Amino acid sequence: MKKFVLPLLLTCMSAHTAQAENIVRWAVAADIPTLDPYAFASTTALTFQNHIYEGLLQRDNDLKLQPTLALRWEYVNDTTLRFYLRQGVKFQNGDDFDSADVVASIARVTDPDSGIRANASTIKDAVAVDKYTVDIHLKQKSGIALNELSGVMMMDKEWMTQHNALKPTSMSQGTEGYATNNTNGTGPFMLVSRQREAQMVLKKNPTWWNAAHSQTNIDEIIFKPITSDATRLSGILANEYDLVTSVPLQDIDRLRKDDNIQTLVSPSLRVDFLTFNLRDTLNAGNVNGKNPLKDLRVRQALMMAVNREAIVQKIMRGMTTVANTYLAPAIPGYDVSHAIDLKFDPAKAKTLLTEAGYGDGFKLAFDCVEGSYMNAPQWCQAVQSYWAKIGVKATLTMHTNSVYNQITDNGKTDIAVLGWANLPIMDAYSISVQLLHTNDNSGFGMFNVPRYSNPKVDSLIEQSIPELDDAKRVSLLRDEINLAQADLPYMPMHFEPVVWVAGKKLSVKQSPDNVVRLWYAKVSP
Amino acid sequence: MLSYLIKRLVQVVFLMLAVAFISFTMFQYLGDPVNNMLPESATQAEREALRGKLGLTDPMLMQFWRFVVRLCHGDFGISYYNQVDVFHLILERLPATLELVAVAVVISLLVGFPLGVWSAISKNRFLLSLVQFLSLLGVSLPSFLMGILLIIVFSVWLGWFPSSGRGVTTHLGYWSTGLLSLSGWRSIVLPALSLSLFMITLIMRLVRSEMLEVMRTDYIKFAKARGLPTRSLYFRHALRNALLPVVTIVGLQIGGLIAFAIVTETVFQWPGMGLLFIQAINYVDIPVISAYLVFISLIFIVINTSVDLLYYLIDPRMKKS
Repeated sequence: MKKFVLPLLLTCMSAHTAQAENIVRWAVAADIPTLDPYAFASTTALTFQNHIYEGLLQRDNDLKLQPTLALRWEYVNDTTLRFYLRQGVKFQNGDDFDSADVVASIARVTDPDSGIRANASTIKDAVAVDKYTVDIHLKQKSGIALNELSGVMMMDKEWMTQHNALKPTSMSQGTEGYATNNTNGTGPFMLVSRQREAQMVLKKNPTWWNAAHSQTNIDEIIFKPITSDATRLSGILANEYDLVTSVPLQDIDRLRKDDNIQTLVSPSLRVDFLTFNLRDTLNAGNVNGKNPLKDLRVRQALMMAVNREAIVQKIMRGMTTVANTYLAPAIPGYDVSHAIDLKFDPAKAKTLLTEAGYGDGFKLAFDCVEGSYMNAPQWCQAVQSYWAKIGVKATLTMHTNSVYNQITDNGKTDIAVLGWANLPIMDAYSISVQLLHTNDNSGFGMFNVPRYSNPKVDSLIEQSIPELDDAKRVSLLRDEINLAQADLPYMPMHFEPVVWVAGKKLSVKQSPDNVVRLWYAKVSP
Repeated sequence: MLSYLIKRLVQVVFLMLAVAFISFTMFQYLGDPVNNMLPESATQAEREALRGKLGLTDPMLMQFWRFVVRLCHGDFGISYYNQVDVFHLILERLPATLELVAVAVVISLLVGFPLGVWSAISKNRFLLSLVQFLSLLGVSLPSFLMGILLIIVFSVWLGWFPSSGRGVTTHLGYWSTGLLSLSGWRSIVLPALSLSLFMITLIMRLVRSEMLEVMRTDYIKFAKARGLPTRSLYFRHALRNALLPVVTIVGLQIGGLIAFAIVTETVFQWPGMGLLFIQAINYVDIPVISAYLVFISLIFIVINTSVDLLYYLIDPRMKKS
């Protein structure tokens, strides 16, 4: 019996690998918790799901919005967008894609239990006009509705009805959703198997609407989450993966010496910031009844005291550049002519502090987070020691992510770390509304950790929201961000680098939004 | 015997409740799960609403009471992070961990026992001190370091075994097994070895010291004087009497391995319960953490009870008392 079983198993396994010709083994640091595209607002999850599901419009390899399941769209009036759908598109189970699916998808994504509802904040509902035309109503006039819709992937109404998944999974009701473990999209790849925390296998969708013009020759994707950095690195060295999208910075130099792999490094859209507490009281205690951080000269001095270039070279291993703007260059509204000009100059910093009346220095509560931003614990320590040199004593505390969020939410910190990439909408709207607008507890300034407030900034943001002329809208936001940058509520550190490692045979374009689009990738023989 | 089992059963219930209670008091300090569940742009009101829906704003005793009531109905709740039923989640991960631990225990018994007996009776001084030295290394090397060393040697340099994962698995009803495929066996070797290393040395040192102790006793001397064959002397009389403490320790260790294979599972990306637990802590996944802890306390009790029952088999004196 035994003699018979082993060769049988061996043939089974070899047959399995012979089926697909071009396999891409893709390793990441964490598994996708759920396959439901409306459940979890994480970039990695949406990136992966985008291989299976598609939106009405999507970003291409150059980050431009392109018609996908919709052929074109137009504004019927200020708050109604009409979409003309592509005909002949089929879901992976054979169902047709039509306006009923769009209506069901929009209803599902705007449901109170939807995990990505805030990514569709401007969308009210959708109404079918005919089988291939659909009107999407907006809550108000908005210039970012299309950006938001590019992140809403389309699901199949019949399939959802059949499996009782018309509503997203509700944690409070304690029901498990069918779409958590099963998929049915229109996209270039379809799910073959899923083993949580071990691997997922996707194979080419032979009935993909764009199959004739497909830019990829990948037949199979094996997605492997590997939690431990050291194990992932060993796997790269042992040629177990073709693409790794989370690589520790300190290993890059070593990997570059390996001839079998290519390392791809570029600055991302994410700017890492330090926030200055602008409330009336400092957590570490006021000086003469005042919060020194409220003085612009003090904030400027703190920025000038830090040698950010050295931090980029030593701690970020020279893989990125210092950020002197709140926006990354790829985001509309980026304005290099108004970049913050506060170069490393400890002597000048000291003078500024003395001018402001804090020549003897003061104390700060400095809170840093582990695991959220690249190498943050190290660069927080570096900043702390630079500040100590001009007499500012910051008490640095390191936190895990879940505890850290409570501290920043409750304002129990003077200096905090915050990274902002303006994703998924890729627009200055995001940072303006979330970080720079006054916190009013109704959706504006949700992440305004410093509690920065400038009426001029607020009014420019509010003017930009209903502006449908994109050029005007961007110019309003540009002026607003330049104003805020001059006030310096946040101190920009650097652009967080995107670091990928790929096998020599895989040609894949690394984009600054850190999104993998394997339907544009090719495997060479 | 029956009354003993009933007594144990009552203990089980109280212990599990106590464990659950302690874990609930700790949840207050774990942080806030809501921030991980909502997108960055969610409003304060939406956050509060979700907290309310999940019952996180209620007092701790209230939350604990709800958990116990639901537990009685066999409902463990839905994982905040994975968004699936917690019971299924644990059931899905259990086979991986149990297989890993089983293979590790078999390795450590197969290697540790003979080595222990041999080192108790061998006269080869050089080999003895070498083995003692290696065992010291085995006890003191942390398992994550051992895991990484194994990966570097056997997957990166030699390329014999994969560095992570479980290989091809077969589903037999609820049970998913990797032990029916070659790739499954290749995948289990390194993690099982790294997990068993500590236990090999522990068993070896324990067997050795117990054996040496027993060998000094009078009845062994008399047996020797009566001219019993060495084989039966060592294995029937000495080893059997040295077994009792070894069984206790091995039993406790198995429980520990199941509960705390966390490090090994993380290093080798073994999709078992340890990996699930670490993830649950990171995301403050309260339903998973509480269910896991209750479940682990159950495993510990089951193992300890079986160990106690094993005593009856090994030690005839127990039957009388």
